[in-house]
Amino acid sequence: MDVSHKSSSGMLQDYMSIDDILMSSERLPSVFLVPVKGLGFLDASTNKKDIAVGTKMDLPLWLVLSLAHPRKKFISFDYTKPYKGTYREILKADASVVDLHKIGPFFYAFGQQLLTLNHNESLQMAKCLVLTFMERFRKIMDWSVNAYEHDNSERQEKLDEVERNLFKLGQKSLQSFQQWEMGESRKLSSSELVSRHRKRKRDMSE
Amino acid sequence: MEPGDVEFIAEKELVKIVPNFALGKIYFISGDVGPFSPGLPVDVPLWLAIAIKQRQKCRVHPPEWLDVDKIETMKDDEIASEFFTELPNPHFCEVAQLLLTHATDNIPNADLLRTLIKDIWDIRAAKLRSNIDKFVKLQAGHARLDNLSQMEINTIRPFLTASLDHMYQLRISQSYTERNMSTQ
Repeated sequence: MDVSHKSSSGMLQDYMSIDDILMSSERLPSVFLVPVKGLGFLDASTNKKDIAVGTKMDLPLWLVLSLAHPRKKFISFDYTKPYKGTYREILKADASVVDLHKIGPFFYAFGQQLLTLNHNESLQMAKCLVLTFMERFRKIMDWSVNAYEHDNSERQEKLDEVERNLFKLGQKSLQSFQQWEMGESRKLSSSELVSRHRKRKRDMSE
Repeated sequence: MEPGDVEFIAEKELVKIVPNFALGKIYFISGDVGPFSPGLPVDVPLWLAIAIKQRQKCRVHPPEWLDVDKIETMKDDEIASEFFTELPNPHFCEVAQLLLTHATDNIPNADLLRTLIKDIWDIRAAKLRSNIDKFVKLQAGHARLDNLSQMEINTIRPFLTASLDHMYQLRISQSYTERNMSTQ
């Protein structure tokens, strides 16, 4: 994905962003508060025609967002593990060593979406998101502006998607600075488009 | 901005050269330069100095601050000071880099200077990073950093602005939640 692309962050989702589509298909454990007629097929565990009150189901975020609207509640939902008390404690202890990518590749974005819905733990969760980023910030910064020509894949593995983008931004400016320092930017080189074009021509003549 | 763009801006700085040719005034949009006469020092923009130097038509007088003793004191000050020390030139790094590559033979101890300047750059970069970290940890709304050079700002800008943006988004979410909770 392009580095310059603004990744999913904030309360608003970007309709066309692949990241946001992936993020909003993450599932949340929910319970139905009203009976729903004719949609029993959604629940794979039974072959009833209707969904009864109290049916438990894992629903994707995009569906939860509209069904659990504060003014008209059809379902109640719970946070997934990474946003619950135990994980919040872990993140509070030392956020910088946690593998955020494993517990949710869109940890921040998903959390922010959850905050648009009412939940009795939402305030703690909101604070946790801010603290987590604050704790991890230094490490991301140090990694991204220091490691030149190192294998960074291992470090990147533990970063959330937003953090990865930040990391790439830092790396890019580091690289262009180093190139300038070496005098690479003074050299003229043929544009990538032109050199690729020639290759293609040769392929065709063969 | 690319480092090359910053370098372009830095090339407007004036340096003293001693030409070995004679030429009348040159009229540029940004101002007149010259006249040139052999052996008489004259102030020219850096880009012109480099162009003439590459044709072997002049000797470059390095700026006063580009001197081992001065740079060494600068380095010591930089280490001792908690804040950023004032640079002798707003385009310190770029001017030094350009002169050291194109006019190496006119600068005494060029190699040593290059190392020292790199050291100063590294010290300042580390300082900048720890300051940014402090800034983020305090959740401050604004910060004041004096005496940063354009190149330094330029290297950290993409990363810093994007991270602060992310931080801001998270804090908006938090205040939104707080407001929501209190209205209930």
